[in-house]
Amino acid sequence: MASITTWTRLEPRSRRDSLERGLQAAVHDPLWLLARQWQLGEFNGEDAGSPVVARLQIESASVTKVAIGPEGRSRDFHGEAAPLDVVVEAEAVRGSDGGTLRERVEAGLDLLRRLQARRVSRAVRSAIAAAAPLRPPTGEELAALDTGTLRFLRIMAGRVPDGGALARQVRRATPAGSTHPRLPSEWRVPRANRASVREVVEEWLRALESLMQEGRPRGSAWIPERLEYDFRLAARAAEGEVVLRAREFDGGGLDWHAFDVEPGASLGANVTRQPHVDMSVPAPATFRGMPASRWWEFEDSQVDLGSIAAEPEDLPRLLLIEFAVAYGNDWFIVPVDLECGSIGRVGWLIVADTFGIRTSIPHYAETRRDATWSMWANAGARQGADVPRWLFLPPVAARTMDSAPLEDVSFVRDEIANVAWAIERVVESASGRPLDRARDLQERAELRRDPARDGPPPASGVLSYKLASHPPANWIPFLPERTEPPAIRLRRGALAVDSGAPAEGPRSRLLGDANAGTTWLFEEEVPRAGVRVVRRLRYTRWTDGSTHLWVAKRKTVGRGEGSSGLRFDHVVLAPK
Amino acid sequence: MSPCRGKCEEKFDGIRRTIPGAPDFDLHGYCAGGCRPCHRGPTRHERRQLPDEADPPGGAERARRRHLFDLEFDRDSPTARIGRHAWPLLYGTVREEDNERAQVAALRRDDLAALATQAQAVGRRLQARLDAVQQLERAPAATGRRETDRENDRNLARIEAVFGRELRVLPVFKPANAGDLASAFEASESLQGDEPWPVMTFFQRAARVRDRVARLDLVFTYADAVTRSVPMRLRVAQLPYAPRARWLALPLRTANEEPLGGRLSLVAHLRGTMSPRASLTGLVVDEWVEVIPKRRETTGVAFHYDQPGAQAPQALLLAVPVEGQQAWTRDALAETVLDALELAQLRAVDAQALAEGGHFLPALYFAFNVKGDSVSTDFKRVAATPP
Repeated sequence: MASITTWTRLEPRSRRDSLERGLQAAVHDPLWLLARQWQLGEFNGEDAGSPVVARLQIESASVTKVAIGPEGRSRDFHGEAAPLDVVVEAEAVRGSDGGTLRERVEAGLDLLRRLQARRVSRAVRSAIAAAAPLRPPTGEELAALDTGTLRFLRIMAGRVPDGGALARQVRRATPAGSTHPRLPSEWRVPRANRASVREVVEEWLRALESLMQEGRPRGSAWIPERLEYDFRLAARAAEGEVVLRAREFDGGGLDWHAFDVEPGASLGANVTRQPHVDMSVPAPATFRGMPASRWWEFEDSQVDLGSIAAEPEDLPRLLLIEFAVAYGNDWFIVPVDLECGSIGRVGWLIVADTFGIRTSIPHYAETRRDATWSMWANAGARQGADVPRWLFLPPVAARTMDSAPLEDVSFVRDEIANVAWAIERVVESASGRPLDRARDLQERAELRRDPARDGPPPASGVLSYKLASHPPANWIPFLPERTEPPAIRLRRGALAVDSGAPAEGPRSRLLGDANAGTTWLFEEEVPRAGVRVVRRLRYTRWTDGSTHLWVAKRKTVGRGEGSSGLRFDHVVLAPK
Repeated sequence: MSPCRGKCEEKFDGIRRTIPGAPDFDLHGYCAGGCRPCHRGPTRHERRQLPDEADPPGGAERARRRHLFDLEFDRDSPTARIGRHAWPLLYGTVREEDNERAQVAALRRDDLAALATQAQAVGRRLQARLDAVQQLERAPAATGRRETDRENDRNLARIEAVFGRELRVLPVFKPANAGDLASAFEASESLQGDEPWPVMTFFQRAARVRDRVARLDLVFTYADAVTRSVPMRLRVAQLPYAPRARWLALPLRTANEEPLGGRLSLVAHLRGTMSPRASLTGLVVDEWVEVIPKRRETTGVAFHYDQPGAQAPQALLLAVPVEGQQAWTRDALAETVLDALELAQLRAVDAQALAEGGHFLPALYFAFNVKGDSVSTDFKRVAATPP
C-alpha cells in the first residue's frame, strides 16, 4: 500500500519592516561583511585621491608695537618678556607708600631676614628697624579701620619695621640716576657694616620691585567710563602694517577674536617678516559628535547632532547640521608652528594626493569675489574690506592662577529711584585682605552705637517723619545727567550722611582711584542685567620661565536690577 | 629656684598623666606666678606681667589664690582635683588679657567669685573629657587589625578626647625615596642658583593668589614679628633629582633654553635637615601645577578636499593558484578578486531578490510521510517549540 508523501518548502525571509536588527550592525561571515560594504557604497570608485602630502608657505610677522588706551602712544612690545595680559591689565598698585600694611610688613621682615642671613648684628638690625617702625593706629584710624586690619596692626605695630617706609628712605637717600642705593643716615649703620648692608639692601629692593608687575599710574588701558580695556597691537605683514584693536575687552581670557582690524591705522611696527615653507601630512579634521564615515565604527555619544531640533526657518542650525553630517569628513588640517605673538599669512597651499596629483588650494577670500566676512578671521572695521587673510596668535597667558576677588563692585540700575548704583561688595582692606563691606559697616556701626546720643528707639506703632532713607554706605549713587550733544551719562554722586556716621566715599580703587577711578559712566554701560567688575591678582608663568603677578580687572554680567529703597520725604511706622 | 615649684609640677604631672607617652608639654606658661623651669629666669617682659616675684609664699597673692580654692572647692573631691588643674589654665588667660599686675592684684571678691564659677565650668569640661577617656579605656578593643594600628587608634582617640579635634597628631613615616629626597633638599641652594632668596620670592608671590599659602605666610609673619625664634626656613627640592639642575620656578637662564619638562618641585619649611635615615612628619599645605608655555605653538590651517569615499575591504582574501598552474598571473588574481566580490553580492541575495527564481530557490524541500515511509520533518513540532 502506497503512502502519501507531502513536501514542505522552507523559505527564509531576512527582510523586515523594523530597522532594529539592521542597526545592530551584527557581524557574520567574511562574505557577508564584504556584501555589507558593497551595499554601503564603500567599493564605489571615485575620481579622487586621498591627500597625503601638503606643502604650505606661510609668512609670519611678530607683533612689535602696542598702544595702551584709546589715545595711547605706540611703544615697543616685547612678547618674549611678558604676556600681553600683563602688559594690558597690570595696574599700579603699591604706590609710593609701599602698598598695603601686609605688603609693608612683609617687606620689612624680609629685609631683616636677609640682614640676619648675612650675619649683620642684632644691634644694627634693631637700629634699622627703629628708623621706620610700624606705628599703632591713631584714634581716627581706629574708627575707620576694619577689625581684621586692627587685629593685624595690634600684633605688628611696634614690633616690625614698615618696609615701605624703609624703601622710601633708601630712595630718598639715593641720588637720582644712581643705580646703587645709598644707606639713609637715619639708619645709623656703622661704617664696618655699610658694604654688606648696602649689598643686602640692593638685593632686597630688586626683589621687592620684581615681586609684582605694575603698570603706569596714568594712561592705563582701562577706560573707567566704560569699564573696559582698550588697546592696539601692530605687526608688519606682507600687505603692509596690520593694526589690531581690542576695543571692548572685558578682562580675563584674551584670544584672537577679541581683536578687530583697524584699516589704515599705523603704530610704526617694525619689519620682522619670516617666510617659511612647511611640508606635512594632512590629518582629517575632526570635531566632537562628528559622524563616523564607516558602518562599523563607534561614534562619540557625547554629542548627538541628530537630536538637534531645528524648525524649517532655523537656517543656521540646519546649515550646521548639514555641514556636520554631510560635509564634515571632507576637511583636513595641516599643522603650522607659529611664534606666540605673531600673525601668520598663508602664501600658498599645495596638496598632493595618492595618485601624485597636485592641487593648489586657494584662500577662502579668493574663491568668492564678494567675500567680505569670515567666521574665522578678525573682523574688519571698514565695510566691504577684504577678509583678513592671516592667522593671529596672541601672546597671552594660557593658564593663570587667580586670587579671590580683592574688589567686587556691582553696577545696577534702580528704576524706582531713577539712579544707578555701584555696590561695593568686597573691597581691599588696609591690610590687603578682601573685606566684606556690608559686614564691616555693620561691625563698625555696632561699635559706634551710643544710646546716650542716639536716644531710645521709637516706640512701636509710632509714626515718624524722615527726610530721606539711608541706603547702606557701600551703595554709591550714579545720577543721570544730560550732556551736550544730547545724551545721558551717569555721574557719581554722594548721599546725604546719616547723623553721627562719618562720611564714607567709595572705598574701592575701582571707583576711588585718583587716576583711574570711575567718576562717570556712559549710560549704556549699565544695562538692565547689571555689570559686575572684579579686581583680582593673577599669577602666571611665561615662555622665558619668568613668573608674573599682577592685579587685573574683569567685567562680567551682573545679576539684574537692584532696589535701594531710596525715598525722600516720607513717614515711617516704627516696627512692633 | 621658684617658690611654687613642686606644687605646680604636681598639677602639670596630673595633666601629663592624662595622656601617657605624650611629649613633655611646657606648661609653665600657665602657672600663676613664680613657677618656672629652674634653669631659666623670667625675662624682663614676663617679670613685668607677673605678680610680684617678691611675694613670699603665703603672702597676699598666694593667700588670695588659696582663698579661691577654699571658697569653691571641696579639697578632696574629683572636681577640686580637676579644678586645681584648670586653675593654671584659667589664671593664664587672666594674665594674658589684663597684663597689668595692678589689675590682677585688684581682683575684687565678686571677680573672684566669677572666676571661681568659670573655674568650675572649666573643671566640668575637663571632667567630661576625663570621663570620655575612661570610657575609651573600658571600650572593647577592635579586632581584625594589626596590634600597632589598634594601639595607634586607641591613642589617637584618647588624645582627641582630651584635647578635642583641633589638636592634630601627625603620622611619622619613612619615605621610600628618602635618599633621593635628602640629596634633593641638600641641593636646595644650588637649585636656586646658589642663592637662598628666590624661594622666598616664590613663596610671597604664591601667597598672593593661593589662600592656603597665604595662611601659612601669615603664621610665619606673626611668628617672626612676635618671637623671632621660628625663622621661616624654606628649602627646595626638585624631583627626579639631578645634580646641578636649575629650579623650574626660576626664569630660564637663556632665551633659547628649553625647560626640563615635567618636574615635581617641593618647597618645605624644614626643621633640621633632611637625612636619608630620618623619619619624617609634616603637613601638606598646598599643591598646584604651573605651566611654562612654549614660545612657539602648533596651530593649523584647515582646507576642504573631497577625498574618495572608498574604503579598504573588511575581509582577507586568501587566493590559491589553480592546480597545475605554477605562477600567478595578474588576470587570474583580478578574476579571483572580482569573483569574491561577486560572491559577496550573491551572499546578500534573499528570496525576495530572486524574483521569479524564487519559485524554485532556495531548494529547501522537506518530505513528510504520515506512515513514516520516508524521512519526515515535522515542522509543527519545531514551530511549537518555544523559542
